[in-house]
Amino acid sequence: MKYLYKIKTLALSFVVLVFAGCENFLDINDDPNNPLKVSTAQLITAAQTNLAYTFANGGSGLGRYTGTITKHWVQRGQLNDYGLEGTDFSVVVSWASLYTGAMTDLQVAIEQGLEEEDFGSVGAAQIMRAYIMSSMVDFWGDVPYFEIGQGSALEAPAFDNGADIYADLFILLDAGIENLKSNNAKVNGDAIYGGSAAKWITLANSLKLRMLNNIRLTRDVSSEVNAVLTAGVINDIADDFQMTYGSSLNPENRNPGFSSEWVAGNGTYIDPFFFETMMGNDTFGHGGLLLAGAGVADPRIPYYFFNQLPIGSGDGDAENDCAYCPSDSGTPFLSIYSFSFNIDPKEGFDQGMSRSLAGLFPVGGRFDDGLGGIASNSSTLLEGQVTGPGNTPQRLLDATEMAFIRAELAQTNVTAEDARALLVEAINASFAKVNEIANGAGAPAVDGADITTYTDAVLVNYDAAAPEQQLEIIMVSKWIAQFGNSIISYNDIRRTGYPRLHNGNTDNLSQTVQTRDFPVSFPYDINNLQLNSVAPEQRVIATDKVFWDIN
Amino acid sequence: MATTMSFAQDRTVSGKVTSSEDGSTLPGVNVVVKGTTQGGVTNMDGNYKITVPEEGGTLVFSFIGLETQEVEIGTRSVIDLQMASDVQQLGEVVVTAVGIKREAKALGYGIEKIGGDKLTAVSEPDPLRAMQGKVAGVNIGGSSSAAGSATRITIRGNSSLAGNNQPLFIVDGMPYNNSTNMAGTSQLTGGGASGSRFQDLDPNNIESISILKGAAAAALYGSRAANGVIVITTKSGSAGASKKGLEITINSSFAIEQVANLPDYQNTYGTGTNFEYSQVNGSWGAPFIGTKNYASTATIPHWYNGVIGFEELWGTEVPYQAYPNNVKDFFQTGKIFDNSVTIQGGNEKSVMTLVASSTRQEGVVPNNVFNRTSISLGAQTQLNNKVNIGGNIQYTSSVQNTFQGGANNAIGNGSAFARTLYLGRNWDLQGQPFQNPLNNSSQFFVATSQADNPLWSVENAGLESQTDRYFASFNAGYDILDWINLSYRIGVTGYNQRNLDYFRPGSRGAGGSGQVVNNYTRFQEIESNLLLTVTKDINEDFSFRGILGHNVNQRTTENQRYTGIGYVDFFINDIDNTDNVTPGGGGFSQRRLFGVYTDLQFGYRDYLFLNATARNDWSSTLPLENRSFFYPATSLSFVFSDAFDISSNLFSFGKLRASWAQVGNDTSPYQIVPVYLLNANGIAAAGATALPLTNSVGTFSGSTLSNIARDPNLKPERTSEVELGLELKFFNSRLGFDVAVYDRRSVDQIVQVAIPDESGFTTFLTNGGELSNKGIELTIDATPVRLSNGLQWNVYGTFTHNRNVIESLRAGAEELVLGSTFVGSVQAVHIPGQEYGLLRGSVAARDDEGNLLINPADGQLIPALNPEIIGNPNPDFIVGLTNTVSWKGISLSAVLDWRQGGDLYSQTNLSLLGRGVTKDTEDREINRIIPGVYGDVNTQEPIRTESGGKVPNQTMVDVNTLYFGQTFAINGQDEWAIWDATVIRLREVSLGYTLPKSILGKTPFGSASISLSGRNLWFNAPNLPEASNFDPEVSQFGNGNFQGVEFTSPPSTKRYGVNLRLTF
Repeated sequence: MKYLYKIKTLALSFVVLVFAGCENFLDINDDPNNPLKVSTAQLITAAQTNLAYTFANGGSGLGRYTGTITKHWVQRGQLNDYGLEGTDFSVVVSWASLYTGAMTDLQVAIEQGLEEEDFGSVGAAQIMRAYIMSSMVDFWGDVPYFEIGQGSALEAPAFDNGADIYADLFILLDAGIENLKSNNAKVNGDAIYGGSAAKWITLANSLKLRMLNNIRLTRDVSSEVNAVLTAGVINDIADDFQMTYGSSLNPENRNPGFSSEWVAGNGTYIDPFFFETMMGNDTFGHGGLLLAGAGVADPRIPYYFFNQLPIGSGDGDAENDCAYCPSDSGTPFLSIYSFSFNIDPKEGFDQGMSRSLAGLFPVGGRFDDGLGGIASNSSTLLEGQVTGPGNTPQRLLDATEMAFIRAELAQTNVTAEDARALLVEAINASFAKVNEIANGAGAPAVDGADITTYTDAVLVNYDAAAPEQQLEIIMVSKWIAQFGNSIISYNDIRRTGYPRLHNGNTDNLSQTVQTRDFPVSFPYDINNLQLNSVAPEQRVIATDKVFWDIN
Repeated sequence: MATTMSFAQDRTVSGKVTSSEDGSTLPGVNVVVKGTTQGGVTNMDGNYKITVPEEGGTLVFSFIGLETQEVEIGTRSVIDLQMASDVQQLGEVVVTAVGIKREAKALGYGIEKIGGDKLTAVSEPDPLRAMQGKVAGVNIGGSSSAAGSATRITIRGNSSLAGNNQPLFIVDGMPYNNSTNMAGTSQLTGGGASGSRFQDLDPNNIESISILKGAAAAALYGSRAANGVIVITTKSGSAGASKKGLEITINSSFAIEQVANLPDYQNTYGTGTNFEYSQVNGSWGAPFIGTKNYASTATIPHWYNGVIGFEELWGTEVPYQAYPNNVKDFFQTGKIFDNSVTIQGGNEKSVMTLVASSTRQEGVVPNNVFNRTSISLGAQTQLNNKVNIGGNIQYTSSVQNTFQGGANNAIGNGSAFARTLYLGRNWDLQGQPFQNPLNNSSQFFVATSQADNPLWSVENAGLESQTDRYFASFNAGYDILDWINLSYRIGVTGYNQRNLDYFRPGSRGAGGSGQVVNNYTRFQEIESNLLLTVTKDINEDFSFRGILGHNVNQRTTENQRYTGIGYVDFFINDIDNTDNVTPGGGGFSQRRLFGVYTDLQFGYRDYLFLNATARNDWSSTLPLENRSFFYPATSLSFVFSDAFDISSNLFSFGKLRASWAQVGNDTSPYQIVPVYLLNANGIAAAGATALPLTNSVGTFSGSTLSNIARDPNLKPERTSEVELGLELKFFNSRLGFDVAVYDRRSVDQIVQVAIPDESGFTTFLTNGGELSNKGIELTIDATPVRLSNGLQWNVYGTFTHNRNVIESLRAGAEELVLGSTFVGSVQAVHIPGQEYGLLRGSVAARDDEGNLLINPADGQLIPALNPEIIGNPNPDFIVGLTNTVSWKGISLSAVLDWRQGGDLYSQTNLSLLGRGVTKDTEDREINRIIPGVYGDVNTQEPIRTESGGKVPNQTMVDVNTLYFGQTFAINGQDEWAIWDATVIRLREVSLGYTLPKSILGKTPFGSASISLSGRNLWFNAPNLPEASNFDPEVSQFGNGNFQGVEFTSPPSTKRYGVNLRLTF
């Protein structure tokens, strides 16, 4: 009996020990460090930095990627010969960060903003979604839109027709404008316009104009264009839609192009074709005329490019045998040719300290004062290294682009505006922008006389040309002005055929061979494509055009 | 503890029992008068004194592990006896789950036991690697030859698609965390060969290791048992009594370490292209004078021509010649010192063990060190006849300093091995300065933007890690009745680890700015176990033991990371010495587990044993309604040789075993609701804009919705396994076989399934997918020679084959990406019906018949649009073979292992070929035609003639292009960088000598032994490029699931060591 009592007591105490305090013991599964909700302002800022980075010239940015396709830059590798692949860093990263980052955060911001009656933020979020989606249609044609952002509830959003998406985006822009017109509307967390509803409304109209111009070949857009012009588009560089960067390296607040291109020794080459066009030369036996400023060197050159070699350098001053050498242009400009990957032996030689780089205007590098120096964005400069301010804005939609679009629309008789006057306005806007950035960086302004000389040369050519070549002059001038935001040039080339780019097979260079055609759209991220059960086949980029490209 | 029963008419017999092997005294031996209950046990000094009947009688001496002996008493009053090991060891006791000790023959599942002596004296500071080649069913791979780097171990394959596949480590009843904590975020894009925390365990303190391979063996650990369990008993934890009252053991070893094998370099051509010299990476340039009759380049401009800071070298020329040893001379001879003292002492009531040891390792790469200092103290005491208490404390300090690794092409990274194994053949690495005198920056033969000078890198960049690890446990036992015992153990283990990852200014790493990353990790685990044990023989035939247990576990992890950029003083690697500091990633997580379990064992006549266990767990990490889950298991052992009494000299032992069990796996904390990430904008790219942002508009913080969609109804993973085993012994147990087959299925996998980005999320954390492991494990233990003069030859062989198949994925999913390297480069993917973690990468375009498509413009390959599966990293089988010959205290042993199959994506081999530095590419004065047909680069279709035929390639390429263009090495598609990683290796050789007692008799030493050892003395990987001499036992990802990928790894090493062991 004594034993039995002991066992019973034991069993009882065991049970008590085991189950006592079990109730709340396991309820500790709330993450103490990450919230379940954040303010709309937080989401707007995150989306803006995401959007700007994705379209900029950083390591994975679409700016430099399209810049290589449009011959602003030259990247070593297959891209040199239009070898875009569905595994390219820019394709994969941009698709992912736009859909899972900006688009999703803006979707939450809209839902949250409507609940909180923060209509200004809602309107800005809608306009940013339209900006992103219209750009994605421009790159990829058909992309998911109407069914996106539902998480695990819908794991296979349909790929929608680009034309349908464009149509809906015009409606979305109107909704955004309406929201921004609400009483005391203000955009929270706005690192671009500081919250100004009026500026966002102007942006919405400007975006409409860009989109209408993109689709102008598909239908008559005259009345819509005139309505947008009446409402008012950006015509002052103070209203430019751009992300202004800071100078902090840690956290990384600098222009993405500066933080990637100005890592000592790491920059991307500038296409000699672009450079020579700006020098006013007909390059490499190109076969056509790049009429813009023919014969007159573009005064923007020292703001666009930075030569690491000082003035007076010869070919032997390069660290290795060069491909496109100082002797080729009589300047310290050094680069490699497009279409020369693995053909020109000199293409692969290291020129990290000798090559010319994107300079002050496109990415916030250094104004080229002719003294050269090894480009670096390090916080501690080594002997011989030079740096730039790094805080140059990333232009996303600006007064220059608007003026060029109006010139194109006038030139193609969509509007009754004066194409010639708008061309002048556009070029002047571009110079104004260069001067604004130069001023911010403490660099000298472009000499007014040089601007006049250059503009006059363009106009002489313009006045002498037939209407089609006048359009070419407008487009070449725009291509030059767009450096730093090459995405627009990629649309322009597909829509107008201008500028006629360097062709590796018809030039007079023995070390270039072009084996692929110009890509008329981007490949899809191949891994992502395999995840979506209703996704279409991979795009054949040489032939699968986007809906508005009916050339 | 000798007890004496007194009978007036009886006499007494006394004596001393010693070991026949080393003459040491044996305490605790049972001495009974045959046929009676009269008897006792020997005391600490091996002495016994018992009362025996007036006349006649036989004494039976027995002790676990020793051969039982019977001795006629006759008229003697003193009987001394020597006892020998029981060669059959049928009574062998092994430590099973929750520390329960059981007789091996009663086990219905496979269990592997390794003695601590097998792990020391082999010149290997990592106890896991010391087990390589010795255990069937286990796959152990070192990640790097760097001192102090992590080791991956899996038991019977992977049970989880994407979660943890490392076994649970239990040290003295307490879980022992084996995480890898790094300063960086990825071992691919930066950082180096970091360690994993199992290395904090001092091998000198390991008494024994039990490997619970199957689910049935591990079932009592419930939700932590899915990957098998490694149960370690330490000397301090077991606090075994010494055979003497006090025994001191000193173990001292020293080893030197060298690079095992470097590539066979060509020394005919220097850097350049197309047989012309230039200052580039690849050695495709002009031949050196004297190697070819046309060679004419005698001197070249100095490499530092024009570099500011080296003005004195400007315009100078240097000889153009080969430096055949420029790679070899980079490495140094490594050293390992290991010293330990073990003190065991006590009396009948209390025992105590103290172990103190120190390991000092210097690797073959300069400034790579691993130092471990450890002290452990364990004690047990009996308070009265019914209450035992004990405790065990251990402290370890581990320090690792290593070089920067990872893939050098990653943005912001600068690997010490960026070019080290493929230096230009004419680079005078040792003869030229590596540091710029102006600013201390790296100076190399190619630009710093490409690679750091390795000599500079090992001095001015690196990783440092300091870990303080503690372990404290307390246990108490109470015999309520002589057949009911209550025991309780509670303990806490944990560590504080500080990691430092730095690049001084002037490196390729961190963009040249100089960068310090600090990462602090605090880990703590509390485990409590209450056990009620009932041991009762029901009758003579039936025995019973039942255990009721209760377990509580809590794990807390906290870490914080800071990045400082820009050095103020070049030489100080401290975050206070940087220009600006930002926090970059940190976290806190806490999880709790609550379990009750039972273990019921029934025995019938000592040959049939049935074991049933059950456990119910409640986990804090799962949703309320799914948080409770139940795991049953059962196993059966049938010793048919005893049952049918068919033992003979020929057939000694036979046992069949069978088991079935279910175990599981919960998830990490905070996985069931979506959260927002603060100061983040959702861009996963190096150099992306970071928040907060300060610009001319203002200062803005921002937050983004996490990219992981959550399943609020998450369930635990479940693994069930059927195992069958057969043990046979022949010829007086001189030949033994143990074979096990198993079929393990894991369902309801918790996976982060990749979902299309357009859903707004990149992944969805949910259940889905089934994984199977089917395998066979074979162990052969044979003693072909055992002579009366003591000469013995033993062969111990293991064979492991495991096939790890993805049976299904979540409905609708065609694949699951396990891991990626760089965007557009190799990935590991799971595909239903295929093996675990196949490698997928880019391939060359082919036509419908499999011919390679050739670009007519240049004779090179055309990349295909879509990547394909290009490799399977899983080995086909692993064989281990240990041969031991021993004679009179001399023992010679060799461990050979053979790993068949398994593919490796090797950037090192790709670079050796692409840079033209090895003899593989020396024969190059010839042009070649890649077999294939001409294709259209735009359409990826073959070019047809007018008649529709294909056109065979006739465009020649030179050898340089063959390895550097859109061809077979650098710049080519991933498929050409895959090699079969089959490797045969002489893993370990040791020669030991134990001094005979006769010599030691007059010395203070109880025993003395000396051994010589060698590790990794030879290997052959036949399917890798011949001249690379590459050891495929390297991997980028430490102990992660993504295996079969290698970027810029240092070569493996070999060691020669000497070990001295003294007891007194």
